[in-house]
Amino acid sequence: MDIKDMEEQSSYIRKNIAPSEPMLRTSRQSTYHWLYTHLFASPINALITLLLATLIIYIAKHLGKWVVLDAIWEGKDRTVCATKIQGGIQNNDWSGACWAFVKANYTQIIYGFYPPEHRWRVNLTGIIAITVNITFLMPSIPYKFINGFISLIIIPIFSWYLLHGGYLSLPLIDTQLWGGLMVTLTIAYISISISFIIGTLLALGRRSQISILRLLCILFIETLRGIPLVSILFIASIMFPLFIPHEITFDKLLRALIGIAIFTSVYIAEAIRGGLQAIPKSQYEAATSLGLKYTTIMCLIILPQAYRLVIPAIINILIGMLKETSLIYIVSMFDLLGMIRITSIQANWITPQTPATAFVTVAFVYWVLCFMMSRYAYFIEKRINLFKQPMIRSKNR
Amino acid sequence: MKGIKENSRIHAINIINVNKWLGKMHILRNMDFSVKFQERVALIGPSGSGKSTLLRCINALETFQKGKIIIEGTELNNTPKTIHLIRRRIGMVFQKFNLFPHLTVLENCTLAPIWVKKMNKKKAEEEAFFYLEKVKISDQATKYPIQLSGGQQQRVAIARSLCMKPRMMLFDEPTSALDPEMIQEILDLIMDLTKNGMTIICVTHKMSFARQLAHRIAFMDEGQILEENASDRFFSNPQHERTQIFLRKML
Amino acid sequence: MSIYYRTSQYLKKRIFFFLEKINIRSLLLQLGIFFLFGFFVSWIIHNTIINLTQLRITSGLGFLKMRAGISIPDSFIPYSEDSSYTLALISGLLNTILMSVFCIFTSSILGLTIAFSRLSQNWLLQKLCMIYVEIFRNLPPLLIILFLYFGILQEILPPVQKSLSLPFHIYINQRGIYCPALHFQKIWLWSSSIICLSGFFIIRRIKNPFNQYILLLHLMISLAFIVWLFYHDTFLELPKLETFNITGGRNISLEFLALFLSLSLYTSALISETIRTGIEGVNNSLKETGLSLGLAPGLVMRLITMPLALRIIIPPLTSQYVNLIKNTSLGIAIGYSELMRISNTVLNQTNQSLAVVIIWMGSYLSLSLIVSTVMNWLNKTTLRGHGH
Repeated sequence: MDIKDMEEQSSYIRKNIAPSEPMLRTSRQSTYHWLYTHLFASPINALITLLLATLIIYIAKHLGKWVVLDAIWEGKDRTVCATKIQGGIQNNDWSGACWAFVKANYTQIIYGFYPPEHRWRVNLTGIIAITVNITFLMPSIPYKFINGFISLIIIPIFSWYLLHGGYLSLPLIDTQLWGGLMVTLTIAYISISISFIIGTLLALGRRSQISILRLLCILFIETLRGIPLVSILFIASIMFPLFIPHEITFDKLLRALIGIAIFTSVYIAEAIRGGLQAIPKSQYEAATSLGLKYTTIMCLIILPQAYRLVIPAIINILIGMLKETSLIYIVSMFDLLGMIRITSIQANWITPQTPATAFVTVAFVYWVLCFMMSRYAYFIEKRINLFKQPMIRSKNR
Repeated sequence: MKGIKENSRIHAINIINVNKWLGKMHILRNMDFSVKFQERVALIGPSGSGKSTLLRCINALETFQKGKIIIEGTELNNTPKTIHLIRRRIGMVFQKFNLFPHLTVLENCTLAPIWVKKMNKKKAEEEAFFYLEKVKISDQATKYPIQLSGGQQQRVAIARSLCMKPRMMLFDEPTSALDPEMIQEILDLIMDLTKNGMTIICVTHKMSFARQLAHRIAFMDEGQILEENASDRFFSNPQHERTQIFLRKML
Repeated sequence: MSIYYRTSQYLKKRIFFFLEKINIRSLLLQLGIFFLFGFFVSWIIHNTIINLTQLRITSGLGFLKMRAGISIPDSFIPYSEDSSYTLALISGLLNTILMSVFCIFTSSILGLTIAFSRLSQNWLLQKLCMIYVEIFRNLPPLLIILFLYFGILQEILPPVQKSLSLPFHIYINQRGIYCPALHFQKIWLWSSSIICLSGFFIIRRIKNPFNQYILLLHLMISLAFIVWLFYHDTFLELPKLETFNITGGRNISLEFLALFLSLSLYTSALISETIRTGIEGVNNSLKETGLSLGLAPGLVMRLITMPLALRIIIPPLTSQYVNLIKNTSLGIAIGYSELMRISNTVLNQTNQSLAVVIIWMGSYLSLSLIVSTVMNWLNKTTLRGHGH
């Protein structure tokens, strides 16, 4: 075939431009097609689908029975949730969740042994913290600096004094009496603010020009990163009193709280350091060339940018911390997990079903809290990526 | 309409009434296009006109919703077997080189022959050296892509495609990520390699290159081919209004 | 020009340069921080000494030789209540290591499986794995451990008299799993560790890091298999079911089981997320290039995507592993005899808090260090062709 010949015939012009058409709903988009491609694309796939479907039905059936159908909703003590052999009223092959237990003890699970007539203080703290933080967490609301100051510094101090009392007309309520969800959230919240501040300082220290400071920060961070939180809690509860003059006594809960906060701050420091490293050097140079001082550069130019980059990472660390507050149960303090554990083994409620019910309840609370936080982190990450795109593009060029 | 009626024996690639939507965007609209054996075609047109998408559809990297693509008599459908068959026949060179960063230049070239053609390592390396020699880069064989310049990387990418001994080559803007002084080098190389009669479709923004390389030029806009003609006539006497505007801007 | 002159000029220059570099202000700052830190440390030491003398505790390492009297049901080494504190602590450390190795192994395999399942075409499998991951990574590990131990295992498993008996002389009851014990001579232990080491050196020569990773897992399996083979021709001890007890055989305690299962489940959810984000983080165009060269999707995954994804995966994976090792300390909540529980008992018995804390720190830090070193070594091979 001669190429020249082909060229002769190949002239072509399109006169009328084809318009943009809406997509036709062909067989490729039908339900059948979806089922085929997503579930039964190959024999192995079909087999997996069938096996999984059986598994799901099996689990759902049993779980549904346990959680809803066979569950006990009302009752005064253990007899409603125990079988006849165990001294209760249920048939011997009965098995179901004992929601009556949760219903009877929920105030204790939330407030611990906080005196009922003072529970308004807990509620008030919760309401204030939530209202202030909603405005802080919504990205579209300005004044983040002032908001952050209120959220991270004023609220923790305020809530500690409101909850602990001991001044004005508020009677002192010892932390021995605190417990349940309230302790979990208080520890988590106050630890966040402390660890955020210490973490920033550690991150700056690790990147500082002063070598001895840098060395100390590296040593501190790397040591704490290598040991478990349980050991830090033990140090806080056993060793800490040895370190300070014996005239000074420190609250037990506060010690655990500081332990958790310091432990978290190390991870936050690493996250912030990542953010600081991601800020291009030109930013430092530009700020220095304007004649600004180190503190000004850091507070006004570098840190705000770095924080914005590492918010998702920090929230993920905080999720981890919220999960780890449960460890104070090991040093015999009663947060949500510990409180429900001791309520579930008290004499008038102990049955074979109570522990499982109790743990499912706690799991649900933790799960909702952590899931909400991780969704928020995801939302922020998407927002940040929206801003970040042009920056990266210009860097590549 | 041409293409449908013509005998598929003389056509390396036959694209019949292909439509592609991405979400609500109609990217390829009733596309009819064919390329004969040993023919070199340049696709030009403004960005976003669907040129690259067309190439990627031919190589089954993207699916289309309606129409047919027939490559050397084999209709492209979604079965892994056909896709595999077609990809083995077609080599593709990308705008951003896409060399595998964890492999050396030589390993980049021998990867596909060893794993797809089940060639033994020694033979694959011999062949790779032959093609690396051809693109004049055999002295860099043990280096990693990151150690090479853009032009060198693109030469390796071309050699890598050639190692599979494809019957057709698709070039997706092979020079647009390169420094200006590198461009001529790559163009010369492509011209040199394709003298022996390989079927080629090349998407490019370099008009001079399109003129030198291609027997035929196709101008695409809004997901369709507006004009196609032999390369000298296309440039000397563009017919369509939009082609004229485009060429005026480019030249 | 005399040598003397040149030297003096040189010295002058050097000294000037030195002074300029040091910067008096930063020197003062450094000294200040140093003294502040020194003061702080000496204050703490001072307080500690006063407090210790008041509590009449003599510090020192002498207590390590005393009789421990701690019972360790699932000790890995010969240990009795009459053994010394040192032996008790070593036994605890070994249990921690054992638990970590088991969990790292299981959670890696489980995590890898889940990550691939989430990337599979099967919609049901995808969603189910997503639910699994979302459930487990949003729960505190301690809760999972307690749930599994108190909520499930202790309630559903039968008492000893009604043990479930499975094939191969395996019995399950509230005290855990009883299975035939492996009794092999020490020489097999040595030879298998030599095989393991030599395998390690073979692995080093493989270039593809993903293959390397897979091979490492293979090696562990084959090692277990080899040990099992040897156990056949040495001697085995079957557990015997008696009326109130089970004698003989190896007992895998319920605490071990609960801790092992829950940490594996929890960590596998985190690991699968790490692996998935790593795989998704590989540039899509590189996958497409692989496809356009004619490589099948499976091969693209093995030859291109995974080696590149490992670069992203390994650093966070290392910290997952370190976290896992640290989380084994949660065994204290259900009474599994790992390092934290034993050293805490030691602390309560002897009040030697300082020594015990140093032992904690030393052990956990060195374990973390070992893991990071191994992972860094693995990372080095994945970083081929990455920035020179």
